[in-house]
Amino acid sequence: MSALRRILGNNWPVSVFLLLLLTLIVLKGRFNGFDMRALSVNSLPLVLIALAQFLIILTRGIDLSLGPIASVAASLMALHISDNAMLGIALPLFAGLGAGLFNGALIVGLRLPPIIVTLATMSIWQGVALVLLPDPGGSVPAGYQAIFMGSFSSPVIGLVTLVVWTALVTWLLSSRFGLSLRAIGSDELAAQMSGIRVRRTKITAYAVGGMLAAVSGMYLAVAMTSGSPVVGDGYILSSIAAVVIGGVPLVGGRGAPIAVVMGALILTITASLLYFAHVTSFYQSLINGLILLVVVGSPGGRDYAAGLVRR
Amino acid sequence: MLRLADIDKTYGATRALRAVTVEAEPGTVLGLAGENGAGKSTLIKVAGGAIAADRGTISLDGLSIQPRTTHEAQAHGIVSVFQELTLLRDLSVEQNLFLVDAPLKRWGSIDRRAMRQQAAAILARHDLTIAADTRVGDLPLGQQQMLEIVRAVARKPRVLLLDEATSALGTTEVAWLQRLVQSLRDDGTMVLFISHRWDEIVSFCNRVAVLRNGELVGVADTAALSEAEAVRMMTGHAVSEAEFPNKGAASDGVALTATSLRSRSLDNVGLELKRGEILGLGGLVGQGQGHLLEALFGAHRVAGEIAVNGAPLIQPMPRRAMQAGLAYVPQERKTQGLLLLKSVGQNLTLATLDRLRTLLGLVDAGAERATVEAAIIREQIKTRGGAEPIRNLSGGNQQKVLLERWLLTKPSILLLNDVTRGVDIGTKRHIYEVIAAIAREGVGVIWYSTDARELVGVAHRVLVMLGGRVAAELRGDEVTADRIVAAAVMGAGQ
Amino acid sequence: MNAVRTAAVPLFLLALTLGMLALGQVLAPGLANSGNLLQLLKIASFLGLVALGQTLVMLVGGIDLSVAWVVTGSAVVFTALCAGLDANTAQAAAAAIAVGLVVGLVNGFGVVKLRISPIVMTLAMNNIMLGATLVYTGGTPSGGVSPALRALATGGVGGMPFMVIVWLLVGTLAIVAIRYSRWGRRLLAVGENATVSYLNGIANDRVVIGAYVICGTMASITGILFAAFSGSSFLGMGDQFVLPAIAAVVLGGTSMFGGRGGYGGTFAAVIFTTMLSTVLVIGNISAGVRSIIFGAAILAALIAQRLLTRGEDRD
Repeated sequence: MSALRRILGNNWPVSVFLLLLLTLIVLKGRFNGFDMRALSVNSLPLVLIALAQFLIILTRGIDLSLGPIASVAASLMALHISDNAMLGIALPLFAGLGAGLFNGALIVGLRLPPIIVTLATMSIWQGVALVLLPDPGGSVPAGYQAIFMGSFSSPVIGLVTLVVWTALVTWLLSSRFGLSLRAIGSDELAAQMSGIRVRRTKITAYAVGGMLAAVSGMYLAVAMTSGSPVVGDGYILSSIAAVVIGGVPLVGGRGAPIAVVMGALILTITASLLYFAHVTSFYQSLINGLILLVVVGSPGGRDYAAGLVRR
Repeated sequence: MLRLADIDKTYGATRALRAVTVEAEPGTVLGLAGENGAGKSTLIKVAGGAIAADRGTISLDGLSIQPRTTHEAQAHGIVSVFQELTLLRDLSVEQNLFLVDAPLKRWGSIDRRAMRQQAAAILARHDLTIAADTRVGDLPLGQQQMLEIVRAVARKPRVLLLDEATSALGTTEVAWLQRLVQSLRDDGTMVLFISHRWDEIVSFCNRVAVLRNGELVGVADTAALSEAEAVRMMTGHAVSEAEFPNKGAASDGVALTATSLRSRSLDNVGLELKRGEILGLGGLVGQGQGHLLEALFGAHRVAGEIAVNGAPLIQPMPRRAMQAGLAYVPQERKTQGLLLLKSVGQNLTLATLDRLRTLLGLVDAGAERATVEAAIIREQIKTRGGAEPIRNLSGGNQQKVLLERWLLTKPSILLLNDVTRGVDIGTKRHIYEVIAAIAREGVGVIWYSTDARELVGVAHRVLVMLGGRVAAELRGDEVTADRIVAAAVMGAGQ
Repeated sequence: MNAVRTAAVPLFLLALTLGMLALGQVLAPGLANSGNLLQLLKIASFLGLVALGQTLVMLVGGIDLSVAWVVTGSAVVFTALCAGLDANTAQAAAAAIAVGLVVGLVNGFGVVKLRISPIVMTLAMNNIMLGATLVYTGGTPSGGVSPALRALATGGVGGMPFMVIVWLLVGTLAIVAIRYSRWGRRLLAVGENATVSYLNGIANDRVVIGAYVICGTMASITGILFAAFSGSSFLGMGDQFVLPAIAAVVLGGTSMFGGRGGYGGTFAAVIFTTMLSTVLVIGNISAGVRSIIFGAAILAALIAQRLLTRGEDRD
């Protein structure tokens, strides 16, 4: 039981997600492999960007350029993968890594506030995506969808992918690197004085974040079988929202990856819920906003955010 | 042997260190003594890699080293405990102990069980009764300081640097540290020790290096140096024991009463303060003294009643307390007292902005300038002027600004929270005189101090606190350092 | 000494702006005449008003991401209620301004009383305003701007656009209030260290909530005026202001951590960013490259500014 608690961090977001899932099942009257695949595949891009955002927020940073990095990755993949599969996969990853390193170097090297640095790089990557691919286009052969997301009726690959990425980030956080991230978010100066390599750790967080964002963009390209220069823009703020709904305070130092994944799933599932409840999509952002406020504003929500410190 | 040779360090226009050379032999404890701004902390930070010297060499056992970061210094076995705590408050005790070298499992993730066991062993070895999974921020300040020291010692240093490591410790905890330092010394560790308190230098150190204005005045065996001699070396002129001014007599009028104050850290505290009286608060660190002062000022929520000059304070908060004539000088100058980004002048008038009002809500610039210039002269604040950023001033002068800000409010009751801690002797004497003078004018003062001798010198009457209660009240001849210390440890009835 | 430092950022931005202007003059000879410059100031004024509110919020260590849909929401409410009639203008404007005022109040309340982080609080309010606006309009804004207000937003007197006059007046008021009033002192004190300001009798809550309320109100006023300028309200019209406003505040030398800065720097930065976009458009540069150059220019200005003021936050 305590082991379960440890893995779940705290059951708050898990319970909320399960409740929403149950509601969806009741509304729809079914929840088969097709639905499960849809949920896992639809949520995957947000899950990945939210995890990236989470690593950065742990250091008391924030990254507004993750969405546009995903756009650049999607565009690069769609442009190249038909001609050269290796290039089509490696290029977006390197772009994500480079973009993250660039952010990290500016923030750490010049001690500039993350929000304003990534605001500027956000504009830069939005521009780069537009230059690469002025209109939605390029192509990603449908075969990749079968490989990375499974066939339309089978949820296995989608679910496994979700679990694997979550496990990877959980492992990353249970390492010394993870402890360093938390320490930096808790008190950067004290962490420095305690012998933690603050600069290196922070740059790494942004670099890993950039890579994860690129992977997210690649999933988007695979799902759409093409690229789009604006595909990531919707994730700029929703990635922050997912992290927050996952109970992570923006002042850094605390939070669990599984909770962040739940945050992303909650945001994804509300969209389908509204659709099946025949509510006009106009209400979606209204409801997302309210969820956000309820989570952070209710006393329970705040306690729970604080409770996540204890793993 | 650790040798720091010809160390120079300049900050802007001030030379913090000038050609300072000190050596420490294995198995010795070297004290660094001097007034504020003498360069002790700068020197120890150079040795610990936290600050790079402009010039000079550091060698350990004959090998020249150049630690550019605390990390590099640690690689050479030089470990620092700084004045500011460097623990991570949001992390657990065990995570803090193994921040950079946590035991790992096969796949590179941290082995929590092994970490907890090893942490518990370290804590037990050093007589610390703290659970290893406690969040550090939940520990009292004294225990945090002890943990900080234990963490440094657990790295098995060749050289241990203790910079004001006793400032948050009470009497029993200082004794604990003394035992720890002795055992390290006997094992051949070199220890550098900074303290403002001469009695600690004497009891901890074999030798002491005295600094003044960034220069080394001399090195001597502590046994061979009298306190008077040491003070003369530190200040440059002969001074005996800090002198205390005439207190004057308290009147019969009651300035403030507090009845059955209760909170998380206060347990049924009551007190009465007369006009013109200086009421001392003593006891071990963290027994509720600070919270009592904050409660009286409305900054710490309590149940109970507070009355000022006979009128009850309703829903106390700082603004209302100020209107009732209270003033509170907090303990933490940099985090609770000063606005470090602002000028000397803006810091001086912060609590009296309402008196500088003109039409349209603007600040009366002329009146402000006059007030500030007068205050700088009256308090002998060393500054280039009211427009100078406050952070350029030395600690003692910053403290004068903070005190003067509250004197400008013309309070009828002044609450002082350990205001002379970490302040040089000259400033201390100035503060004693200023407070005694306003008490003679009829202001009631409640003064918490960690220094028992200071309480004896300044206070008419002393309340000693223990565990959130008033454990003893000492009046008249009873007010002696021995009685205060005894009551602090044992409470009432001795 | 301090005066030099306060003026350093605006002067630096002014130099950059003049550089931009020279570049624009090369690209499109005749750009640098007074008529064009006043037009440019007129366009900048909308961003300037949003950035004014943002400056106050950032001075108290906060940030307001909800201005995007407060601008849009207020504009939509205004045009719907005004319905193109002069007679309705006052009531419609009052209702629209109430939108921003209430959102600001809620933002401030959440940040101060519930201790929600400003990014999250205002992000949530932005979502709520977005949803509310969609629901209110059913997806299509209706109504129209009254001729009187249209004249105010587009017209001028003796070649001087009204909008520029409004901006200069409000801007001057903000600069003076932040620097020389007791309110400004309190704003900067709370922003730098809330504990210190509380212990000195300052009503922190009131000051911070006030900053958010002014920010929301400024966003509403901008929404109304921008709808008047454009001739109608449209969904998403506020999006273009948020990030440039934040960029302008930071470029203008206001610290993201609160307690340091003012509107003078923001004012200069707003002109600079507007000039930059204008030159990029004149240079007939594609949207993608424009976006890259815009981001790079902000970075360059940030870096230059950091190097100029280096050593300032050393203790």
